[in-house]
Amino acid sequence: MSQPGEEETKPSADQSAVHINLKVKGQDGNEVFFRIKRSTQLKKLMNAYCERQSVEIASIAFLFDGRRLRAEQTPDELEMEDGDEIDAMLHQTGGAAAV
Amino acid sequence: MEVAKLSKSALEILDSPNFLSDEIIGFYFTYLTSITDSDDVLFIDPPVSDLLANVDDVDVVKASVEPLEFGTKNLIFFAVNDSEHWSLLVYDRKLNAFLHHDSRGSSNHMQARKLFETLKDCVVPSANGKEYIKPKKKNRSKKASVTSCKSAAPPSFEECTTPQQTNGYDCGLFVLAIARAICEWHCSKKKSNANYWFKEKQVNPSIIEGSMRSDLLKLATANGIKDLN
Repeated sequence: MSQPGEEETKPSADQSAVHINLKVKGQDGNEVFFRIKRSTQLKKLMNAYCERQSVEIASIAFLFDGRRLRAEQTPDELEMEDGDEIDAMLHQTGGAAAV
Repeated sequence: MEVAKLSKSALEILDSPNFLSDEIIGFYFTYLTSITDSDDVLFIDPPVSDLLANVDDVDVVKASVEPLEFGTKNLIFFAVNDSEHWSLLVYDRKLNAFLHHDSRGSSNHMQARKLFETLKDCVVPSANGKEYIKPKKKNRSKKASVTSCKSAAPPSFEECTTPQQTNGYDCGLFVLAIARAICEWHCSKKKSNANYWFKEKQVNPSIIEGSMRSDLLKLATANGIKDLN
């Protein structure tokens, strides 16, 4: 995986077969762009995102196509396409509402 | 089918009277999916419901909902959360209604309505005509077919009578117990008797509050959820 960053140079046709550009969107609407190998586990992207946002990885659920992503999944097996968006949601708890 | 496991922190939550996390709700939803032999039932992972309830972007809703194929499901379960309280929203195709079960009065009414507003246009089967896509059978599954709704009328929203929690932390357990009961009702042969979704004894506050937490802990620590495939 290359360094996470927004100013990635455009990949050549050759590279784009190996790499994929993905966007992680937080609940605040903030978008962070990543470029990783299609065969790389998403764990790497998740860690990089959390490090960058200074949040615990355990506090975030990453969603794609209506499902939660697992750290060991790869863009390849999820058939992700270049430019796809991943949503980052804070985990929730609940017990009862304040009366 | 993925193997569901709970993290250490989730197990600690179950070990004492804490608020349930979405991880635990998701875990139990996965468990219910694994014991349901009908392919027309869908449990939505709680963070996905959260996204759907709170996102305004139509494209994001579409991207999240399309792969879930709501149109092929007869029963869809959503956990509703308003940041401190869980409740359960269930879409029943036969009634063409979203039914809301809240174990604490109408605490989550607004939040459930919000989710309903997002979803009401998403549940109509995409196929035209009478024949809907038949869901794939799971191993040794009973025959499941999507019940056709009367027309393309928009679904309704209903608040349902729900057993009430007596403490300030177990609403998540009520969500799970009610989901399980409805799921059992759906899969049972008695489902023609649709006057009730669950009997009082299935969703009994004293049993839920008394032993469901430890039952969940046992389920999570025994062997997690078995890999079905």
